[in-house]
Amino acid sequence: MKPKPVAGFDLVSAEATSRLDGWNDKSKHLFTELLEDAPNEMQRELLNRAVAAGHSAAELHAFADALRGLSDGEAFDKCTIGLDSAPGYTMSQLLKAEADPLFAFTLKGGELSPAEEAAPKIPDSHLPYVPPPSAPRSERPKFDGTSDTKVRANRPAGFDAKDDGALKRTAAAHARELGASVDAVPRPQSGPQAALPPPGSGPAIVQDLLNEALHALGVTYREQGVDGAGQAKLEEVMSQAAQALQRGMPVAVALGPQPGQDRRFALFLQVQQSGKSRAYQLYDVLSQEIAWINEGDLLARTELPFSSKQNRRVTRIALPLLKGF
Amino acid sequence: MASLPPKAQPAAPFANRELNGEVLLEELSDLRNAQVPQRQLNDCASGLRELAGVRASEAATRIKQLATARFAQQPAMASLLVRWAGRLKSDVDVPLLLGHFERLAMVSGAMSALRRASERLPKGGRG
Repeated sequence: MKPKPVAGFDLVSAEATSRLDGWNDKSKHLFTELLEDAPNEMQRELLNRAVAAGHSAAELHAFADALRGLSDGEAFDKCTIGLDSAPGYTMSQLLKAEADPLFAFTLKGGELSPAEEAAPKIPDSHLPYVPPPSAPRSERPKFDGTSDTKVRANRPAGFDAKDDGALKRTAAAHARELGASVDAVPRPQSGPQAALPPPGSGPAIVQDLLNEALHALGVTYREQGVDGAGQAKLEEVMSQAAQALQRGMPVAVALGPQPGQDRRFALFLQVQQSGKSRAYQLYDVLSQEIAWINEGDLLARTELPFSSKQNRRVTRIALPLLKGF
Repeated sequence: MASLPPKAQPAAPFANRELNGEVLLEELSDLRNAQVPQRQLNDCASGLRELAGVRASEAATRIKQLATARFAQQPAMASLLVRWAGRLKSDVDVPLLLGHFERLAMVSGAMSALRRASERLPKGGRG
């Protein structure tokens, strides 16, 4: 029997409704359909909470698809974490999982298949200018279906890959790889009225590639900006990074001069603790420089022991979700 | 009261601070030059996971078997396994060896992802 349709957003909490206010009409319509397709009230509630936690329509789409075939008990088990069953998780992970069923789902090993995986969140500044319907617009460059950005960048189809605009267009095309939900990727409001993003949110640059590369090893990474408005402080994320490194998992970071200015990628390889002090070994992937850095120097955000002195701080971090180990 | 026996110390190669730093990077460079694919590193890490809890002598034998049985077509990978198997001296070395190969696979995958992701940064990540 087809489930009873849900009228509008009657069942959506006030918090989720406020999030939905920032979505465009197509994303709202997609969410309505996801609610209608959910087989029971519990799954609707999980979707509702995932919206309230700040996930995008694309992520919701993948999450709903992953839940749909599950029974009530299975869905509940996969989206909730108890202290007794999660001794390896940090307190911040447990608290986040309590409020965010999608996060709990991925934390417990739930997979959003590549075809359903959330599209990378691209900052508004990386998306192409979209003129209003009345304004004349030139035809968009067409991209092939490959996910290899290099292939796209090398296409001589009327734009220069080194041109900043080309990078923006490439990023925009990548953001639309989630099925047909071209307009489901929410466009954040801009300007002074824009709400601050929730902690841990923000555009992902490397998360999809890391997860693609390390999926076979049972490791999933979650990327976030550091030290920016509404973002976690470096001190907070480095304690999680230390835990991951002690478990043998590398931690990827972007380095730059200021929060939000990601210039280079580097990899924390290991951590050593002596008393209360820690030292991290950091490897710059492109320059192939490697250095041990005292935690105090890292947290001072004034200089890193690499040849490029302008990139003096961590601006972004991808932490592994501890599963499969 | 009888004193506890002294805790076994890892053999020198496993106690090296750079085991999972510079040593690992050098090994990765060799494997990359030998064009060992990421899938083989993942297979190796998965295969070695089965040795958790196994004694050093048995682990050494099984690692050599793994090298010849599964990586016969990849001499660089096989020789790396055999070299490390020969360095196992006591049981405390076994989890360190497994961890090393696990990291080898993860760091290789992460580096590959970061190289690709650098293309998304200004100046190709060389800024």
